[in-house]
Amino acid sequence: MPYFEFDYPLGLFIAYVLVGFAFSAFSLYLSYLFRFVSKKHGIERLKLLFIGFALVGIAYLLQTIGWLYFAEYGTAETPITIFGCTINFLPSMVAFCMCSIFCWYTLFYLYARLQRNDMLFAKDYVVVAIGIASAAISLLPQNMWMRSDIPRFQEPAPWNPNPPIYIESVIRLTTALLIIIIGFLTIFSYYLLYRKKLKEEPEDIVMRKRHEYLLLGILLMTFAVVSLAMRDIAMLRGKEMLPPSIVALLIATLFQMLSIFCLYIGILAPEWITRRWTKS
Amino acid sequence: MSQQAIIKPLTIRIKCPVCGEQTDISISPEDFQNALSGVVRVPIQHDRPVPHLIIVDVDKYGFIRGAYVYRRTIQPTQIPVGEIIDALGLERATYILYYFLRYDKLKITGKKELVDKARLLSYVLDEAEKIAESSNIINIDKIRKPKATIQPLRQILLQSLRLKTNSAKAEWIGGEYKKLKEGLRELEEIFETRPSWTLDMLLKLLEGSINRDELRLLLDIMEDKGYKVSKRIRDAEYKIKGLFG
Repeated sequence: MPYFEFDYPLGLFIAYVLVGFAFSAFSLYLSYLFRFVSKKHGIERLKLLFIGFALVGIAYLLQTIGWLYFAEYGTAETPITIFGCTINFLPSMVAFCMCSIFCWYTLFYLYARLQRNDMLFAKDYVVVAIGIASAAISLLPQNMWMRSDIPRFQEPAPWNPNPPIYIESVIRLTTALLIIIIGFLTIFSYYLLYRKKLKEEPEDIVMRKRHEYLLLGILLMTFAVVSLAMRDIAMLRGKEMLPPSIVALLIATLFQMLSIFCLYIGILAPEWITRRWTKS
Repeated sequence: MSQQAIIKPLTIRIKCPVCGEQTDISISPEDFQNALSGVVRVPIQHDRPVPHLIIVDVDKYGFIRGAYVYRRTIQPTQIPVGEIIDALGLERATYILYYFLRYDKLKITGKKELVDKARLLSYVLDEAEKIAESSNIINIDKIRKPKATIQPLRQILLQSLRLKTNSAKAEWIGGEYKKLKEGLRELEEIFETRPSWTLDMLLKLLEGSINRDELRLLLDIMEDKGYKVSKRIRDAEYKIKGLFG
């Protein structure tokens, strides 16, 4: 089965891999901090954020390793055998990344909800169910990446000479739509928490700014992952398309970098920026 | 040589610097569940020539970090400390220690026998005068878990179970409590002298033998008292706690 070959501009590829490593390292660092704070200060619900960031960090680390494997092999067909089962490493890890982002959103949603009300309602269980279903959908083989020939969903038959060959794009678009839905549900949930905190301490400019940057980081993450999910919709046009979604990769990387920056400022609030906020 | 945290009970032999007696103490991985910094303070009681108490600090790798005299003479007491902890239960007793540290005055309500035990505990802590008419009401039957790093307090009570006599238990619990109370007083004094701090700076300034976990407990108590601690500590853990806690 043909897979896309490595024909990226090397400089761009190196930048992409470095951003991937930086993103995974940052996520793993945050997951460590959340676990540390949860354990040291007895804040149980921070374990939700610990799990979310740990999943994202591990998934992006594996995906970035997959990219190196891709560059080394020259093709996205990057087989590895685990317990007698052979999978293509990079495509599988790309799907795992999307799955981890769904988990991250769902866990963030749960955290914001519990922080607001200390309990979950029926609609929250619906959101969690959507999150779990979306995470499962993101792991479908159609969400894996870089096969240059799109297999038909069904083989043509006399009674069905033109089967719906675009099943792959339907699943990709569905995944992207689900990311948007779950992303915005999370942002909304966190926005309500932000408003509650704002009412409690309206004068605290640093806290307000930190929450705003955090919200922006979550929003930008949605854009990054949507472009990843839709990366090779154009692939359906076969050989006419650009080399696999280089534009999508560029867009995803740009949003990812912005998202990291905003999450960094929101969560860790470095001194140089808090000084600026307080001065202004 | 690579260091490995202990995974099964370990016996350590200690020679007392006061009487020279050798004692075997058992350290298990469970001892470290409430010692977040990875060092357990183990009190050891000896009865000759006079009852005295020594402390051994053991780290999670089973190495002795230090051994020193805690009390050359244990003051006798009639308060049945072991019975009090049994009756209250370890968790409830831990919470009560927290509330004694937290409030200047408090009123304890609930089942009479438990209230009486809490009152006896206040004598051990030398805080009997804190129990009075107050708006800070602690219902001992439905006592709430404090939102704080209470592991150091739990550790004090857990380690007291190693001691045989009530007098030694009272000496140990009272001594450790007093150390925390002094630390809190010192911390409140120095905290307002700067707009922001790091944990290391505070540890350096606190003259008592307060460790990092105990400092976290004291900062949580201050936060509970209304100080904006999380916003003024520059360490990443407090930034996260301030935003998400």
